[in-house]
Amino acid sequence: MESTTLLLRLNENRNRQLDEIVDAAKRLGNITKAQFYFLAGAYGYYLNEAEDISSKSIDVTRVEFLSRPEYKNAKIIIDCIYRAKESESKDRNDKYKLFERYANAGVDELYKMYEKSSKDIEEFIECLELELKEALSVIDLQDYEDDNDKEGEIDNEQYDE
Amino acid sequence: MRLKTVEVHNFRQYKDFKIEFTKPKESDCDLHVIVGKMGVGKTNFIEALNWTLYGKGLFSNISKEDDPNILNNNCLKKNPNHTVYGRLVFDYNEKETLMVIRGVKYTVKDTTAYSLSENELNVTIGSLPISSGIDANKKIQEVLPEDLREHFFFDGEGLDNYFKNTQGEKTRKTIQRMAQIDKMEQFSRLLNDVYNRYFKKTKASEKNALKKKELENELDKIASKLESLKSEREILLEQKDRTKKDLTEVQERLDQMKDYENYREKIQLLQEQIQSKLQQKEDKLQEKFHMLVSDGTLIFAWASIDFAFRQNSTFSKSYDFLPQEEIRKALESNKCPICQKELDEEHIKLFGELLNAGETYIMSQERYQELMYNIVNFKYREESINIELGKIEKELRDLEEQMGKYQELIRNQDINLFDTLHEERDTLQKALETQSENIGITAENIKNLEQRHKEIEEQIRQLICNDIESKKNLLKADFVKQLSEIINNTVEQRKAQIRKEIERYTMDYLDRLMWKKELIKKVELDEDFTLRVYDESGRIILDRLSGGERSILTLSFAMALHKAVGVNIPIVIDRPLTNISGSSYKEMLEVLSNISKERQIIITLTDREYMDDTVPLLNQKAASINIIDLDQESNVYLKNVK
Repeated sequence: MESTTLLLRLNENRNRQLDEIVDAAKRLGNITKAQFYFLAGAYGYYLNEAEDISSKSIDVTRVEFLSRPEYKNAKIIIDCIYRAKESESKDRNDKYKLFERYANAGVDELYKMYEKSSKDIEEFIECLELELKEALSVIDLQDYEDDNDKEGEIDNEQYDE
Repeated sequence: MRLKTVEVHNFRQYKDFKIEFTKPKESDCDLHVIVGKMGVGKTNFIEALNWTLYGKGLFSNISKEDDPNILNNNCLKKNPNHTVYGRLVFDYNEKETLMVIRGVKYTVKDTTAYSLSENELNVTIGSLPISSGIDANKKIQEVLPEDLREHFFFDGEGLDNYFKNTQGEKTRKTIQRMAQIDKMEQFSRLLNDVYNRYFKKTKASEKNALKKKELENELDKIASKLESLKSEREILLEQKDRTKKDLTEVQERLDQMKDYENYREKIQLLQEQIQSKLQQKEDKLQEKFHMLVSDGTLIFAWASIDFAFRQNSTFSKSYDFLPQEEIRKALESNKCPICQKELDEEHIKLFGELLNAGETYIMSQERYQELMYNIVNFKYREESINIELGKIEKELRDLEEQMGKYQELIRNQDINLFDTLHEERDTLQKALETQSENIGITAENIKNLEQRHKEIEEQIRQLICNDIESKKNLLKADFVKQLSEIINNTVEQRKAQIRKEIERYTMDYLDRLMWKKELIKKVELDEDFTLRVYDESGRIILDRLSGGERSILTLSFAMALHKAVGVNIPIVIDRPLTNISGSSYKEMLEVLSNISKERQIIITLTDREYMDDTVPLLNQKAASINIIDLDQESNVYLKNVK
């Protein structure tokens, strides 16, 4: 009988790459493999790199987990990515399959980054931070930053008093 | 007494050398400086003075007057016979000079010198050659006693650690000899013999003669035992003195190693601080990594979020996640799926649009803003975490740098040595206790024996006949005994007096010479003749004084010693600035020039010590500045004289 559980997967080699990164990151507390998976998906989308799931795929996480509060943002981006890419998606009506393709490519890119950092997790963090700064630089945050600054100023004034 | 002329021939680098130490009439300072580069022969000049006076060196291993090693190297290449010759002329008193001449003949064979055993020593006072050989030696010992030479010939190192080498027993013996106390003690022993002789001449009646003889024999035994106990006490005192010296040395080394203990504690503390900082860094990195992974997902996918929001920006209210089926039912029944009220026109329009938008995701403005603030917060938090991480990194670098310094400091320390020294100190302390105990026991035994001696003497007195001859002999014996007791008392008083005098004179000199006036409040010379130096709060501070301060204490003590034993002889110091920091050079030279107002001082300096800082002062204060150098044949010559 076919399982009714929806799963998010990775190709076997990509799964191995992700496991290696997750193992190395254990030193810095418990970041789940699923969290890395969603990061990889977002990164693949950011780089516009996608890779098809091959016949040899490994289950990484369950879709039902997306209803948990800690994956709230992951659920949003899966929807948004699909919304943004649905016209060109060959997996029409299957947002999860689309995300899997980005995650597959994203893991590979993250692994390249990890290798470039000589597999040192601290250096990897720095490389990831640089990539994020790059990504952040194209987002127009000005209006929101101004709001934040105003709040900050108010806080400071209260503090001064 | 002051040294006027020195003439040296064939003594080491001094082939034909003559130097005059003249005190200009207009100057009240009698400070003379000999300047030379390292290795020119400054120390050998002082050795030449010692050899001429005593036939041996002070700082080197010249142990006899005809030591072949003193012959000038150039003599080894030339004619076979040579004489090493030294001539010292002193202003002995206001009218007369004292001249000491020593000469030793050598023959050279195959570049090796052999003594011809033709040695001469002459001392002349005024124009009369008063003595030669043993008599000359006696005269020298009288005016420039060899026992005291460690108190007027100094090397720079010696000035600094003088009290390590001359403490206690050695000082006591020097003082005893110099103050003629040993002669008084010798005289007292002689009187004792005379007393015994008179005492033995007294007669007992026939029936008591045997008894008297027995008691006299016992007295002899006690006297001999007393003699041996007193020698034993002398040996024990010397041993105790040596142990004290060894203990001081071990304690000093341990004190130096106390730094090692401190360094170890500091390193341990720093390691803990570093560990804590590393943990802080790890926590911050963890926080940062979580943030990068979590918010990074949002940032990398932001283009899609922005796109989704812009597609439905007309939806000002949040209706996301509303199931399509529910919207369809609401439109069909014209009822709100939540409050069941009839739909107004606005809602009908909105639900229609939602249904038309299909099954894809619709981003509400509220959610969009919430996500946007997430990203803004990320930016601020990232900046703040990076600042904190930078601060931690800097603190870590500082701590590691500090630890590196301490590790460097303890790198050369030996932990085994630390333990060994501790054991050594314990052993020495125990030995010192045992020695003190033994000295106490010996003193007690001496006291008991003396008491027994007295008792037996009393018993003998009871046996003595009442005839005239015996009475006379007894009277003579008692007179001699009283004389001996007076001398013994005088000796003890003199010793105490000398100790007090040395203390007083030392303090006088310190008051005048020490640049830190408040540093030393009191000096005390105990019965063992060990000098103790106290500060204002009564703490013993000898080991805490700097090199310069110890040097001044040494000079003050040495001059106090000279004054107490009644000699006035020049002080010769080889490189007095050796153990003194550059900043104190001037102070030290000032001190020496002050001393030279009442005592001739001859010092040697290296060319480096005779530099910009010191030259003007010396030009002003010194009576003469003599620069020496080596000629082409490596012989010393006077290059320049002020």
